[in-house]
Amino acid sequence: MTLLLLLAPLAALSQAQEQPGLDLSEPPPSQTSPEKAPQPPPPPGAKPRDAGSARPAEAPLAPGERDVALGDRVKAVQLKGFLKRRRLELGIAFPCTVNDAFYEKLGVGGKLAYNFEDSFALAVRGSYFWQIRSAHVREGQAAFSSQILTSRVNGQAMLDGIWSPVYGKVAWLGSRIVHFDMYLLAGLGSVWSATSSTPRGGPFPGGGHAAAEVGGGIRFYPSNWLALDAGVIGTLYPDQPTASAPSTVQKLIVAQLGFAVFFPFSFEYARP
Amino acid sequence: MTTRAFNLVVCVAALATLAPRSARGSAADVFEHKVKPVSGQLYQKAGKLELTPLGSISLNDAFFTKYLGGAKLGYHFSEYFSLAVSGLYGTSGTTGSTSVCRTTCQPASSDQLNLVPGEIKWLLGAELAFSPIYGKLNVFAQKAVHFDLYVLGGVDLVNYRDVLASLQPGVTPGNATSLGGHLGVGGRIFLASFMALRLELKDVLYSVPHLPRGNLQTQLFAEAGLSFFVPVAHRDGQ
Repeated sequence: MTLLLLLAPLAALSQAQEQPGLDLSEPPPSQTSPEKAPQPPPPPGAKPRDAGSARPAEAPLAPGERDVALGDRVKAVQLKGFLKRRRLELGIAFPCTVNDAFYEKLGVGGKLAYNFEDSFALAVRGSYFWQIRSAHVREGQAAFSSQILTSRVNGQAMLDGIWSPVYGKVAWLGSRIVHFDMYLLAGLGSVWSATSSTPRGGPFPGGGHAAAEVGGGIRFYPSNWLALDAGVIGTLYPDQPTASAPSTVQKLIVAQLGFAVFFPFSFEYARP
Repeated sequence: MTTRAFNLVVCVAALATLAPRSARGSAADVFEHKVKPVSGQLYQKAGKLELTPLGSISLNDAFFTKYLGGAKLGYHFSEYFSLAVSGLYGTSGTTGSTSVCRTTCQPASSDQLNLVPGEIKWLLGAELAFSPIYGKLNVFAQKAVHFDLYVLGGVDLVNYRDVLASLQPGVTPGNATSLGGHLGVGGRIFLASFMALRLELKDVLYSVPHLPRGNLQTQLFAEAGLSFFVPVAHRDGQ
């Protein structure tokens, strides 16, 4: 009996999980109640329960409790408001580095992606960077009487897989709907730095350095054809800043803002 | 140093430009105008105090990485606007950039480190936050996670180890305090009606007058904290 009492909440929980969301698009269920299943006989020794006491009296709801009950029965997104499947995506981004206090890089990038599914796309991405020397270079040189080594990045070209496992919507100032998704990306490609060209040539003379990257971000969809993108991407590549220094794995971490235009501009809705 | 401040201003301006002013519900959403954009806003902040014990770590450091701990106390005038005061105190360590390599690499001496800025000791701040976005998403198709996003800006009192103008062996500079400010973005992930995980990224700007040039310093911080809301109960009618 104790075991049954302990298992009762779990049973109720599993029953609740069978209906993760409240589908308001369905017509209301019929008011006719099905025939009650025959009740199993009470176990020997058990007291027969009064029908009125079988269901405890409902406690008055405190302010907000109704909201709590309703809130999470309604799915976060009933129907997706933005579909990407089989759509081409052309984007522009503006990255800036967040992990180099001495030589900061500002860039401009482009992206061409094809969405095979709503949650997966393959993208070709490229960026070009301008390097800006910060005041820390002078401070460091004056204090330590030494040079500060840097790998001067010129650009990159990457092939990325983009996975968008999370989809949702937000309220903008409590009234307007904005759909969004969150994505992860990973890819391979090439980074061109100052050592990629003459006179040094670098580890890969005359060409780029092999590179790998991972990242993530969030995209908002204010219209059927537009996405606003904010993300962080980390790129790793081997480089040798000076001939006398050892080759090391360079880390280029950029935060970027951008936008993307989807083709075709509209889509036909299909239930996900 | 001003480059990073410029970058931040550009990023904030870009965010403002890209803000979804004309955002609209897709025609595909059959619940548009029938169900609120985010139905069941369980976690309401208006009229509540928010106390946040938090930890902070500096990012993109040239010479010193800062580890700060403290608290923030805020009041939410509405679901969108809040005012808060905060205090942070901590310690710092040198970054890899302070290794001086000739034949072998060695850490910079304390006399050398006295010439470079960035060793922040404590921060006191007041800030205004604007939180226009409230949303929820389903994780693993079951659990709904509620969150909000906000931008913030404020003024700070920044205490730091002062810098020496030239190498003076054996001389230790004292601490100095200057007025500064910060801009940032953040979000709350609501864990319960009275509790939320709070994440922030902010850039603190302050001046170091004893630097011969480039005396405007910027310092990027990532903060994480656990917020507690008082009172816990919802206010009816919201």
